[in-house]
Amino acid sequence: MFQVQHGAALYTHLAGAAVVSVILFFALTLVPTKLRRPLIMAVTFAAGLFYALEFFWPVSGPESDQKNFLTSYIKPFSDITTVLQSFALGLGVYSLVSIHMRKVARTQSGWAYSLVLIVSMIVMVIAHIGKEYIKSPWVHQLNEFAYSGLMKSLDATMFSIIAFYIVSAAYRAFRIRSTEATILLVSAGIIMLGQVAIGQAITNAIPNEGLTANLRVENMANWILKKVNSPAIMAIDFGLGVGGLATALRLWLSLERGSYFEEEL
Amino acid sequence: MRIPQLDRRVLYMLLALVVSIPLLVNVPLPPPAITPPTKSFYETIETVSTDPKTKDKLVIISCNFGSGTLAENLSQLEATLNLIVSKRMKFAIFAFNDPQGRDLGGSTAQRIADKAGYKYGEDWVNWGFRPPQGIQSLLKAMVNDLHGALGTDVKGTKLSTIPVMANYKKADDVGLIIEYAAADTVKYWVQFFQRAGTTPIATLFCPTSVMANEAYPMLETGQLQGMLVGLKGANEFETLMKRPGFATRASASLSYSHLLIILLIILGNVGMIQDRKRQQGATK
Amino acid sequence: MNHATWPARVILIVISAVIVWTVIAAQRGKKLFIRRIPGLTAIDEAVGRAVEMGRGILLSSGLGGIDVVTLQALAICTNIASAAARYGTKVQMPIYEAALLPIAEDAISSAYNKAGRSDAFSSDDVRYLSNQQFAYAAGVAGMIQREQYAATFLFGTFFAESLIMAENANMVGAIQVAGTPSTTQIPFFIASCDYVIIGDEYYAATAYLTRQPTLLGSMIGQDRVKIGILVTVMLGFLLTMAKMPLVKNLFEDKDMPAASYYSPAKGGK
Repeated sequence: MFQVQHGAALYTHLAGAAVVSVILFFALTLVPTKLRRPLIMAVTFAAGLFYALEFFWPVSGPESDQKNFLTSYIKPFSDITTVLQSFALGLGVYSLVSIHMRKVARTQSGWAYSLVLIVSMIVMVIAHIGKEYIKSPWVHQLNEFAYSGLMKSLDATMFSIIAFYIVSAAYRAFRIRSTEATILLVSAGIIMLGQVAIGQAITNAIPNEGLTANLRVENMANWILKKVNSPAIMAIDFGLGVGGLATALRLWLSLERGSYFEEEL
Repeated sequence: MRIPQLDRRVLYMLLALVVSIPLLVNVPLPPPAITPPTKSFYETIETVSTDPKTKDKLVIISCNFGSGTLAENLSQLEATLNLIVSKRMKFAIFAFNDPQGRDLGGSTAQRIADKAGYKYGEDWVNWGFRPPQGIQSLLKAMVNDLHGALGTDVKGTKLSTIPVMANYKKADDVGLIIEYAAADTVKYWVQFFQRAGTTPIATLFCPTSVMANEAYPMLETGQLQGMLVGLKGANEFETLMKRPGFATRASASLSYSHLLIILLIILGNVGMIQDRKRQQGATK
Repeated sequence: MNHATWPARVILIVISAVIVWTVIAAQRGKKLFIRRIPGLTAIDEAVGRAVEMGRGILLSSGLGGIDVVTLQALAICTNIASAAARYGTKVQMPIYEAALLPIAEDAISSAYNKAGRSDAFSSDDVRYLSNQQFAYAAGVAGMIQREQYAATFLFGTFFAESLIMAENANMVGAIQVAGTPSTTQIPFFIASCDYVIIGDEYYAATAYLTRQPTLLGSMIGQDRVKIGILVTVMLGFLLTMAKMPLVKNLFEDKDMPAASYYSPAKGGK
């Protein structure tokens, strides 16, 4: 059932899938309102149950190939997830284009920027998909210009802006207002110096052996990261892990309902 | 002397100067101290490439970064890939978080592989990009069947027909995973792939400096065998390999920008203390 | 671990049972207490300020897909949207993951309905921007600069783009409340935002805001599980300190031969 098909078999399967989808779609519209919620709950439970069972069910077979009766269905399930989510991209593009098309059509303020967005999107789609199928050199040049020349540079520029924001945020926020803030500031200073060669050079004269090694800035920075930062992150992760599990259980077992937890079951 | 509040634009200008001057003019800098995560990163590759049990196994080069973090992730990729090819290890490029990773990783690998005399399909392969939505299930499926789960390479050729993949069919045939990322994507390898085969696979992580904090606990627990922390880690690695590259050149910018931030924080605090004293004087 | 080992199987089932049991107990009317969380109390303050200033509110659910963290972010955003709609304040929500768009649209429109202001909801206010990290960040920064929001709420999974969004909002003088389980982004939010919800406060947010028995029960259940984990960790610590390794490491699945590579003794000294 989940084998890759080619040629006529592929088209037969596609047609079959389309017919089943249409029947299913109409069948779902006929479901009485009262039954819709239990149906959604059942589908949610079944979808989650697959992964839960696959994980918990005892496995057998040689050590290098341990599986249970559900393991071989993991791949088709992964494909289904990918296909479902890929369809959603169309929704996103539709939302983006419709907002900006309306803006252009009504010549609302900033409509020219919307036009730039739509044109850029079309050019990028032609260039990037076109390069795979069109042999003409201009498509490759267009792709080179749009992808490597513009998009990569713009992406890198946005990331580099963070450095500027870090400077302004640090200058504004790192103030010795309390004991805690002072401890935070001193630790940040040690980490910043310990991470770079010029900071490390400050304590280069101190021997890197025995007790004195603890006075070297890079060793202090490493100590803070490993002995203070790591346990704090682990502790937060425990809480987050349990929190995530609790939220997942509530969703899976439909313990709450409404549009995102508005109403009680 | 009263310290004035510096305008945001002045701060930005200062940083732009401090970052760009060392990139244009050669500024002398002492060599960096090699930190434990970098040292164990290097030692892991050395051990995997010499251990008879792992030296012929596949290295997965997972490129989950975009052009935004080129300075950090690409420096790490170049530095480490040079060592991988010098050890004549076979490798596969893979991306699942950012589609740009496929091209950035692929083109860098192509350049380094060409120089080293590696042939595509015989010594290395590019598995291409797979969408992040299904990555957990995909990694689970890859454990027992790399060919079936991945299907084709970036050029659309079936993996089962690519010579380099002939001996690499499941997780047990993988000797090393190196994750280059701007996010916490290494967790997927650790959770679903690293220990799923008969023997655990050594896993190395090359995050951006910001993301490194979250990974330190994984070094302590033995889930990661080494880590290159951002550009600084790449610089340390280049120093270890005695092969200076972009990371070595850019580390002067990094060093001086850290100093600038410390200086600005001090100035900000001196200004605040002065203001506080003046206010106290005014109320008296 | 691709399949559960016996200890993992037992412990996960016990943890799940504790949480579900507490939820059911709460649904049956058991009274539960929850402490004050300053960051969450600030939500009303921020909405109030937006109303006073007559400017809009920005909601962002971060860079996650349809996962637990993002759905929690959406739940918090729905509550904020509902409060904002009651006072007639405009809410805008840029979306990163296309698959989330219909869910977010439905959630925010329901929030408007609940507030009795369904007429004020426009589907343009929940819009997809891009699933490229920095294109999304640039889009959000542009929206902040154009719309000059009075308040911004950043909840969900964030990476390096967090500071771009928070600093831009800071520039326009918006009051900011952020919450994320991404530990690496917490420092950036603390530097730029007025209130930050950290760690598992993030998962307590909906319980705190709605006081629904189901959510309160779930939160108390989580706390009980965490107390259990803490007791186990302390016990393990004390036994190891006393050189009495009575308890075998229940969670070891396979020893990693390479683990010894990272040893402090071998460090870069």
